[in-house]
Amino acid sequence: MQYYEPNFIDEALVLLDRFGTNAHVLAGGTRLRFALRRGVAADAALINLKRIADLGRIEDTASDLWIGPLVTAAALRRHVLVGKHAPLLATTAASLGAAQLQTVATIGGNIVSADPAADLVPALIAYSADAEILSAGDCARIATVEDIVSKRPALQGRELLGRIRVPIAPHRASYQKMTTRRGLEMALVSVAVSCRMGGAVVADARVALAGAAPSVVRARGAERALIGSRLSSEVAQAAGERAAADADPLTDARASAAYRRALVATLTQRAVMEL
Amino acid sequence: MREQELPSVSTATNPDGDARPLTSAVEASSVLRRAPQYPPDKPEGFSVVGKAGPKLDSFTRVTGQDRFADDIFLPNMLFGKMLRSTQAHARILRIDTSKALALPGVVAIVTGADIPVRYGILPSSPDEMVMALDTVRYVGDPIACVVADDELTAEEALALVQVEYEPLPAVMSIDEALRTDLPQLHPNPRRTNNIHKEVHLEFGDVEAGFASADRIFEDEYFFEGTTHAPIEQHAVMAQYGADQKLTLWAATQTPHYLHRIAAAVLGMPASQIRVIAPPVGGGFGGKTEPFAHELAAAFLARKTGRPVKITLTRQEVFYAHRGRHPVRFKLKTGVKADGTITAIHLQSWLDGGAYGSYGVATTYYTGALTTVTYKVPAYKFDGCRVFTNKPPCGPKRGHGTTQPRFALENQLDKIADALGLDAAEYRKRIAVDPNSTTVNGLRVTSCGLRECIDAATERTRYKEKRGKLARGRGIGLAASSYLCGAGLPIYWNAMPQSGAIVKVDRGGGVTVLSGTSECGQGSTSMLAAIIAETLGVDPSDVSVCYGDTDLTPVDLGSYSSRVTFMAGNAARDAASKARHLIAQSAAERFGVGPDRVGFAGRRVFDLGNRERSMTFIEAAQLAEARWGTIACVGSYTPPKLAAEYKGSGVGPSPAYSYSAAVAEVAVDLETGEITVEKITLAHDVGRCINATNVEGQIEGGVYMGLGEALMEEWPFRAGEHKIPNLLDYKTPTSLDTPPIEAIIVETDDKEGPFGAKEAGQGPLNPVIPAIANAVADAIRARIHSTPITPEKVLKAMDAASGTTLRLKKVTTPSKPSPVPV
Repeated sequence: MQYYEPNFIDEALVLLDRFGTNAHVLAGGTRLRFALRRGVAADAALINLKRIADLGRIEDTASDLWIGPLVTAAALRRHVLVGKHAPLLATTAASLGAAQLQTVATIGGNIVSADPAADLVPALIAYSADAEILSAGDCARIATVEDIVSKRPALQGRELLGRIRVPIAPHRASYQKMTTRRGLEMALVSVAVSCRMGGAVVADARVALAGAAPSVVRARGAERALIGSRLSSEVAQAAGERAAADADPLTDARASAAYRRALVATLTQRAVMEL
Repeated sequence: MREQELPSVSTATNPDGDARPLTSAVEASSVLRRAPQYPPDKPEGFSVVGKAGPKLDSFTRVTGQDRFADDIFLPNMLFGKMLRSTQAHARILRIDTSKALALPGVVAIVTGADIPVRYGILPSSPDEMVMALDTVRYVGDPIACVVADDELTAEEALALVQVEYEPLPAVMSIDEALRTDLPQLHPNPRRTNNIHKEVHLEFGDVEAGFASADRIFEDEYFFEGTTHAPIEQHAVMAQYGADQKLTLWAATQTPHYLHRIAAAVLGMPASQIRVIAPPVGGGFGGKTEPFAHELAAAFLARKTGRPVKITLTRQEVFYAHRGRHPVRFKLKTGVKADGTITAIHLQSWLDGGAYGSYGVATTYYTGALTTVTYKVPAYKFDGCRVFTNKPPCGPKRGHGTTQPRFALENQLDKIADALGLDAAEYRKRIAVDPNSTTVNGLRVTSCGLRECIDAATERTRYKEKRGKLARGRGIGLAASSYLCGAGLPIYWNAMPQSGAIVKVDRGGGVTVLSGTSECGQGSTSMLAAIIAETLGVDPSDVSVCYGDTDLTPVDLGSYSSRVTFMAGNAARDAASKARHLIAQSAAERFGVGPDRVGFAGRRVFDLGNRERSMTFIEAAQLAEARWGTIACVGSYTPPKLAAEYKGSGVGPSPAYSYSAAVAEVAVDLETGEITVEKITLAHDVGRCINATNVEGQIEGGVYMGLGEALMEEWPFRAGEHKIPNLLDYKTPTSLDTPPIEAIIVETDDKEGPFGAKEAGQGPLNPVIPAIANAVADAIRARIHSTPITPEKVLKAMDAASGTTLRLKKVTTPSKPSPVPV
């Protein structure tokens, strides 16, 4: 296996172009280590992005918060701009794995690994975030985080995730996460809800479900139940029931589909009540 | 400073220059002490026993100075790796090691054909081989062992070994093992299924017992398999010297058994093998028998003439396993209207995995201790262990008694509720009495069960709370008992179970040689405390040399909660003899009889006039001058306890410890999430040697029980363990662990060292049913299987209320379930 540490994005893209599906991109490495343990082809390339400073920044403009894909969960947790514009992202980052893991796990890795129970993705989807997708010789294209994580794999072989954009707008948001134990855990089910208010009425809403479908998804039925309503326990219950209907969970060793669906209803209801 | 200005220190004698502080000065806080009854040979009272204080070896442990087996490096050493089966059940058609052997750096490869010897920890089921000869029986079964100059090369070589399998149908459950149309894991012409061991025992008139019952309760339970998850992975270093002697440094709880079996498997005289047990980083029963990697390393060290180290990966630890058997139970209990038990019929089916291990004993243990906690006048037990194509199960903390305790205590609460009895008073009323004999012939001596129940329930105000808390909050009680060492060794012999040598140095130090293994349980401190108490010195004056078959007398090992009772008694025996010699020579100096000589605070004195005294150093030197070298031997053999029936060897113990746990929980009625808010556990330890250590064992037992109660699972898919790693195999984090209150109850066991019993395993057992009973109290419904997951909580509530509240309240699209990831 060959090892590269490109200094610039373009250099990384050229390497990706050259090695295609044989390229393994190293950001935090918390996921990649499983692939490496399973064994990789002799002609594979490991491309470590750590020298590319442009991928590790957090910046804001008047309308958007821009987060580089190499930003770690630990940085999200304490960065002043994240706290100001996207506090839910800080909350979810704080619940990701252990404190040690948070210092290496990146937001880009969390998106690209497209785990159905990813910790950071629900908040990003609730915030209607999108991201740049870069590839050699092409212009960056923009895709929503929901679209990116719905694909298998999330990116094509020669593509690299660029900056993530979170629109800045006054909002209310909340997050609920159910786990098998209290620490070091991915969600059995988690729910992120974000609402923009028009007076006392919900003007717009995003509900994102993790652990409830093959990828982290929006619960559009639940969003419709919220939009145009005044928040109340009845509305919360309706949103919970619609979210459960929107969910498409699976049965695995950790929980049955029926239980996950029940959790979606309860956690969505609670998340809305918390707004 | 010039040389003459240095302070002068006499090196000839140091008669009273012992200015080191005594370390044993902290009083325990939570010990329910009866009036101190000092044994006849401790007329001066206790000055060490019962005190709190850190374990003697804790400082070297936490600073990284202890050298575990994997920390040992020798010049010119090789690193070994084992190739393991990728098939759950298959015949091996061909193994080709030529490519691997050709890899530069690879020194040797051996396969099952090189060591065609069958062995097993129990003489009754020798069904293992170091590496598979022609059949693999689980994913992870060792097939070959490679040694190379470095670990990476050895790993690389594994990938080059080619194995051709002919897959066989895999037997993956108890039900499949009982079928007659699947291949047998171990050919047995007397059977057509995969049953390993059946036990059928009956005591008293069971039929009449059930006939005279006013109510009969019948329930089924399932206890999930769990693993030990020690921090230290198994490791061994093997060296075969030019003197043709083999030395093994192994992370083992049982150096003696490894010694015996290594001699048998390698075909070497035991006199040419030395087994050393360095400090063990956690055992919990997972390191109590010889493992394939230990024997392979020994074989390869002899073959290559170079030292060989093998350290298992965490995944391999999951394969080596020997953990808690998954057990299914049917439990039938007859009671009078007042709750008095008239008869019990317990049936158990154990999922044993691929090999015997301690499984025959485990099978008996699922039934043997049923009668030791509560009075049972008639008792029938049917046990059945089966082979399955999974990692072999064996002993884990509570060995075979943890699983039935979950069933028994669960059903006992149900009986109390059905009969309108207070669950705590009820348990106390049917508790066994001290100095009694059970229906299956087990001798009970000291018994603090009622005191434990009182202590735990009064502390938590259990009676005011149970059944009266708001829905979603619950309190639960469970009690239990455990052995202080099996009464019989695992191979028949009439020799002591433990021996000790105590040597008194003329500088005032005392050395004990004991065959025990220190796996963090505190055996070193226990031995030091018992010897220090006997000789009136400080535990820090005692040097403990343990676990070395060349140096130390045999101790059967750190399992079965036997070390304090048996090694402690052996050490006390040896130290008492040294005390006797020292007392005699001191008595001559004092001009009194030897029984008037007392030992305390590093001084030896006349009990009648404590002013008349000398330092321990002086007394030791006096004794050495009078008697020659002061080195005394001691040993412990349990009294003959087994009754006269087949299978009576499992269950007898020189004493039983007792525990009662109260769990307080909060249950989220919408998600089913369980929060254990507090565990209060009272444990009858006989007499506590070191309060800190006993509390530590109680807390460790509670922690381990918490994981088994709430989250640990043992899942397989397509013949393979699904989660052989500590990321996916859930054990509680510190955030999951509630405040734990340990209450030490003392009953002063007549045969225990200074009255002591065990604390290593017993405290785990009541924790799991206490949590189960607390959850039942919170949700008004019972869950009959572990782990008690949030999903089971919701299902049990639905079943109890006849509704399916949240699960079907929402309309669900009818789509086929996608394939699980």
